[in-house]
Amino acid sequence: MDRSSRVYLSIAMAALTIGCIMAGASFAQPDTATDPAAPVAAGLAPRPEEAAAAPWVSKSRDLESVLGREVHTSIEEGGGRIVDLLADRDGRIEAAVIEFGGFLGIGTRKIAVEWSALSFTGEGKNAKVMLDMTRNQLRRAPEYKPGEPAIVRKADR
Amino acid sequence: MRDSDEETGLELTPAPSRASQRGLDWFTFFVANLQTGFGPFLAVYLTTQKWTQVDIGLVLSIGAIAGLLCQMPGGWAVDAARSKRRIAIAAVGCIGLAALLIALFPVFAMIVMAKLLHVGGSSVVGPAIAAITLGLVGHAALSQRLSRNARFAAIGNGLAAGLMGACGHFVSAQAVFLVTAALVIPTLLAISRIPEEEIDPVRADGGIAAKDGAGASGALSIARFLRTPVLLVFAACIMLFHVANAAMLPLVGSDMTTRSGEWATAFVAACIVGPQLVVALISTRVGKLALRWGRRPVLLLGFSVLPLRGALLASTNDPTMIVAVQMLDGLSGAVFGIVVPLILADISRGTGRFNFAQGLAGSAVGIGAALSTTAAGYLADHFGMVTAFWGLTATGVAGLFLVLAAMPETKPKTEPLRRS
Repeated sequence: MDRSSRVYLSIAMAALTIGCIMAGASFAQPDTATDPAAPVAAGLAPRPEEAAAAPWVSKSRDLESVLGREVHTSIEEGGGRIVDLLADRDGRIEAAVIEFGGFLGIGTRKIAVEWSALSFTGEGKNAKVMLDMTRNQLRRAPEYKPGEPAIVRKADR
Repeated sequence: MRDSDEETGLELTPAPSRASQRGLDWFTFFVANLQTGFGPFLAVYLTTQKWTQVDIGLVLSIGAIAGLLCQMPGGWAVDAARSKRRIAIAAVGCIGLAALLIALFPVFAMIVMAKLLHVGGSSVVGPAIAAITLGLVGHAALSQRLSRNARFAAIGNGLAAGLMGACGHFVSAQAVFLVTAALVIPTLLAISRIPEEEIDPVRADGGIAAKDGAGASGALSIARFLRTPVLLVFAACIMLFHVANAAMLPLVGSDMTTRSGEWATAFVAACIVGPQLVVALISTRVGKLALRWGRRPVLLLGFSVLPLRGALLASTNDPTMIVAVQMLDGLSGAVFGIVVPLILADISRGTGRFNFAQGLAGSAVGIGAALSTTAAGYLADHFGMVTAFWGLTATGVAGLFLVLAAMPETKPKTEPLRRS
């Protein structure tokens, strides 16, 4: 390696390092508006000034974040992921949108499944979202399209 | 690798050192590696980071628009840069930093910044590779060297897609971006093997005066260069090609996921990696054909394979057959990787605007790809997958006719004919 290229290399490395530090500094003030976990966190640990409103504290880890959770089917491995929730006008969650399939993000599919078809088992590290459907049933389900009436796949029971 | 080819029968061709040839090989290889994770995989990663669909869509749109806007300025900057190597190093640094930001700080502002860094870096590094290539070997040996680039880029793409796909599947989505950031180091080591003085900056812009020290100031003005008819016709051809091409793989992918059960992921992987292997195998041949037959026949070959692929995809359901048809993508991929920069070098010869021309072509690719996914998505939603494939096929045929009707042979008559 000649001298000049070593200079460029070290400049590039320095730029990388400075970038990381800058990024770290701005990360110190996280943007709560874009942090989807924020409402859940607020529910788990109420702020002192809200104590008068008789907050409700969840038992140990009964409440957990849902978005991004991996979904397992009864026989096969995981592979699906919860990417959205669908609620009716009363605010009741009726369905979960699950994205699955694909390689490097190509060929993924989203489908809506009945909320009651999902069961949440285990705690902490062992927490699992189970879906009462086989992967073949998942595949044949019609694709979910935002902005169009959702076709919700019901569990076969 | 046969470096001896470089010396045969060309008076005006500079002879770059073995070290710089190898350096360029590995540079193209690693740059291809760097780009793998930034595609549709970013959306998957952000989903694992509990991002909402709205935010993911917003970030991807910002990236797509910024990417389009960056292409021509990126090419212009490479033309203007005195050291093509330095600007390439800076671009690689930006891409690596983007990967690091994505891996470590998946919050909205940081991801937007990372996306901007990535599209900025990408709009420069693509033209910069071609500029370094032209600056090293000159016009006469360009087709040969471009086919060597295409081979290394294809191996890089295929290998990275396989490894990073596996990494995302078995380790974590975050790991993909950490690996990408780490890959910056070998990328920079590779480019450091190319001595600065072997890259003639004027030759790298497609300027004529390679010896008398006339700088980029001697370049044709952009306004005048943009009035070159062949350039505009060629940009239109490229755009039509990508309108027909870009949505094919995603459509194939979602079709596979619907159809082929447990093996869907493996089939989709084969559809991505397979064509890259084909490119690696045939690129040398394609480069030789571009030299022997001229650019137009090879371009026509690439443009006719595309509608053929569309028609076959529309008519088959069998996953194995689909994977086989996808291999045709490798053929048009090789043509595109080699003949497009070659024709751009022909068109921009003597103008000093080679890299701007590449930026223009990049914009055409971007616009075409955006139109493609929108239109094909609409067709697939309302009329079904088969109609979508036929729509893409029809566009491909239109592109083929445009090349037939309006695209002249650009290979200069003075270029020496060579045999292998």
